Amino acid sequence: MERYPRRQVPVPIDVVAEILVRLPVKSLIRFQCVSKTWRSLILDPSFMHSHRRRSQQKPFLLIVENCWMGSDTFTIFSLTNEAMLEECCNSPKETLVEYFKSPDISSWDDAVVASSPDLLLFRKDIDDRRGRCFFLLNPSTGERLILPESPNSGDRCTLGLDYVPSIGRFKVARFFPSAKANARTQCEVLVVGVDRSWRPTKDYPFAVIHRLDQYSLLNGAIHMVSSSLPGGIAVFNLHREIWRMIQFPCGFCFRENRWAAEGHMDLRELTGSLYLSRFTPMKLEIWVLKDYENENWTMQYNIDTLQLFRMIWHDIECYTRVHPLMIKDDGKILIAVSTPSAVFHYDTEKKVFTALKYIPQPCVYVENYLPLN
Amino acid sequence: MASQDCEAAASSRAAAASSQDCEAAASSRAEKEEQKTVRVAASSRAKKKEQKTVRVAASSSRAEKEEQKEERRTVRVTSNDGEEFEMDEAVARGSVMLRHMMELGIALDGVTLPIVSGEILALAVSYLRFHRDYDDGGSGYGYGYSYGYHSESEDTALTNFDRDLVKQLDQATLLDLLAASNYMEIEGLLRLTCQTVAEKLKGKTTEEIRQTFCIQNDYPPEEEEEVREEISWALEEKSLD
Repeated sequence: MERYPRRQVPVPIDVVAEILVRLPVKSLIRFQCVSKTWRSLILDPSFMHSHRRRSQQKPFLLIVENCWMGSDTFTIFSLTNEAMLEECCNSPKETLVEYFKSPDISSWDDAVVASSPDLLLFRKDIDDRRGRCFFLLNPSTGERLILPESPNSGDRCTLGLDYVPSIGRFKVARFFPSAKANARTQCEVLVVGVDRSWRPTKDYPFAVIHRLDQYSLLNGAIHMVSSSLPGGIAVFNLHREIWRMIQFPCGFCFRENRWAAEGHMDLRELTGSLYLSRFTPMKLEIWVLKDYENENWTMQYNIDTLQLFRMIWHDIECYTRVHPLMIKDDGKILIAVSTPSAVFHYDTEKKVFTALKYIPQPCVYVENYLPLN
Repeated sequence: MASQDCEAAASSRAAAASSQDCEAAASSRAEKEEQKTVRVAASSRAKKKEQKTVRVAASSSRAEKEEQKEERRTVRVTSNDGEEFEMDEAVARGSVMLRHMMELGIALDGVTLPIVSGEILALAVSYLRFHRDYDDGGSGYGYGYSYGYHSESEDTALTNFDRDLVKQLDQATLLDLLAASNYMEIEGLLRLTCQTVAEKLKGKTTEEIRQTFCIQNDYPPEEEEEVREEISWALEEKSLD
């Protein structure tokens, strides 16, 4: 056991701050016991934000769906970085680390429906799926908050959330089809810890698709696919509560494929950009919105998927979705197929698919202990 | 009347004589002065020649030194217990505090650091010396490294040095070195020591931390109990407390 020689001179608090800002959240929570001064430093908002800023430099991945790991207790696993994702596909037990565990959350009834880099939003099914409620969870601190109820939390609703620095609070938005038969999308918002009930805000003149794989959070705005004419991506800015639309890339037409109208279209955020993909048995087109301001799309990959189709054709259904899971620096892609649940590695040079074991879509997470209340 | 004349004549004769003397004196003085001037001129000419030789000698040796790309100006830094360290200005610039003092011209007679001991200053100086040799593009060697060039082995050498520097230090010395690098504003050393201390802190108990940082527990017992309750979930993880 190491000796801890007693210091004669106390360490100045600004030096202590330099050390503490480098510690993980769990350690910081523990060290509140050391002294009142340490506690007030740790709980000081500007220290909290400095810590979060450092965390933002090293985000890591969380894997939430854990039925596939067969745990009895709800567990969230962490993965240091995207580079390990491939390794994780093959040997999850060796690469995943238990990050958060809770017997109060059910693997069966509770599912993640939205996330921001700081928080996860769960939907909890109650009463045999006849009812539902929603709650926020910060896996760093375990803090949970149940959101107020809303009559609009039916099956066809999308939720999104993000931290809004200018008000120092999290804000959640819910989107649902208009009750009137006018094919509009309505929206209500809630400032976490402040609002007791949902507040209606501007609606969007077209219908959007309420699917998890046609939604993403980017630049503080929630993006959803709108398939009705004129078609495009509906964008709701959470802070300013205004809508805009990003047009589909030229030549991107989802009507021509003979699958359902929602088709095999997938919208998600990867590597900080918006990715739109379209899958047919023949090919997988992957477009990236490189120039967000000017809405300039680039077709980054046009993959011949015949080989992939042959590998999965006996399991394929009209609900099968194929989308990119991760885009690596060297251009190689991990592609996920749901129903059946499978992950493939695609080598862009050799144009070859390799089957890997399944892994659920990870969320990007930044350690923080921003308060919910 | 005649005596008056006599007196006048005498006085004028005396005057004349004295003026003659004066003249003579003056002329001889002038002569002397002239000679003196000549002598002075000669000596000053000699001096100038001498100085010229010295100047020529100096500038040629300076040119030599410049060829070696080094104007070796140094700064002397003293610890609070009297230990002196002399380092090149380029090395000292690794400390933002010293750099500012040198720029303001207040480091010419040396700098004394009232809160840094000799043992700690030695560590800080060795850090500065090592990193200067690498971060400055190696101009001390004069082999024409371009700025910022690092070969593979040199990069490893850098982190090995850092690791070895902090490895054998005990907790108290590490904290002192951290405080010193904060005070002297040596960014790389501050990061290194903070990271090392942070790593060591992760597994410690509350009491061990209080000892290490010399902190008094200022919680009244009930409040401490409350806080422990609140954060019990985090305490469960490591069964240390």
